[in-house]
Amino acid sequence: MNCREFRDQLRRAASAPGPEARRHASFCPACEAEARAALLLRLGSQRDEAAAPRAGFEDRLRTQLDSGAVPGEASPWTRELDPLVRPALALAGALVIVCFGLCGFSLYARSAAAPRQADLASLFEADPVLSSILAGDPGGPFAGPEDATPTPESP
Amino acid sequence: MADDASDASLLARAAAGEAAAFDLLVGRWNNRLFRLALRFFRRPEDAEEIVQEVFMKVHRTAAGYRSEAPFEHWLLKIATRTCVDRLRDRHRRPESVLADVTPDAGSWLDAALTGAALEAQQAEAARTLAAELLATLPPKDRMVLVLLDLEGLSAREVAAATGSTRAAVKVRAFRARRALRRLATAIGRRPAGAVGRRPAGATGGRS
Repeated sequence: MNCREFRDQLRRAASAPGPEARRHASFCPACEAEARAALLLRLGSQRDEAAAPRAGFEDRLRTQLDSGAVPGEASPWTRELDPLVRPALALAGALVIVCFGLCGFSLYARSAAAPRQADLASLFEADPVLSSILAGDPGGPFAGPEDATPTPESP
Repeated sequence: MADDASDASLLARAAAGEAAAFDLLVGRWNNRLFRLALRFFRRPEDAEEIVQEVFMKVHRTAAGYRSEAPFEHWLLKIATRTCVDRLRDRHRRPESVLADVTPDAGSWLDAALTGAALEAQQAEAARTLAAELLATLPPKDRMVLVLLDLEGLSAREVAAATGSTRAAVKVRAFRARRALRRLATAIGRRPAGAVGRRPAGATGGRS
């Protein structure tokens, strides 16, 4: 038996592989893994082949149909609103991000502006040129002693 | 009423409000759908709820049925979608399932995968664990594999039942088989203390 035949048999067989297939699998690790996977699927999906719904299934279904409710299904309201939920959440998320961004920016701008104003004030105080301009005498700092306006002599 | 009426004509009459036609349709298909649901949901109550949900959907959308497609494909499509939706709610990660495997259940499942015979209690524990491991597969992949390998549908039929293409079905089946091989190998490779290859028929309860 080769690997192709083994896998064909594995797919067709309703039960565990036969002795020849088992012999092949003992020499071929790939086919052994394939056989284990197939058995796992069969084992986990096993059912009673004669199983049927409990007695009175049709009556219960008819009651459900008459009440109009689908078990496990969302209500018509939820179904209608469902397409709107995701865009609304995305919009809300975007708004939150923008708000946080604006708050952060305004805090940064405020903190950055405060020392700049302080620097300007100290510059006005320390710089004679600026203070003379502000005082209305732009040439003041550059005037020599000869430029000094003569003070009227007192009689 | 004639019992040999086609499914499509029964559905058309059910859509027109004939309750008896719908009941006949339910009688024809409920066992098949129930057994399909049992492949995925081990509790009969869960499987029955699935079948009920499928028939409710069939009843609601009966007027939208186009008879170009076989009724069986249309019905299976509704059934597979309903099962896949439920499976999504129960989907678990492989790591979490493997971490929860008890040594006994792991060893019994390992023994079952080597073809050994087990006692009823051990076989049940192995089946439960196998079902938990299957629950880690993506629901659509699992559905495709079950329809192909266990229900005996062709790739074309599975594509019609799941509303996809044949190529997509083959890709899903390939992916699911690979994931199953990994899971089956992981069970076999658990530490010797955790999973010992017990002889068939060894007794003991689930710890």
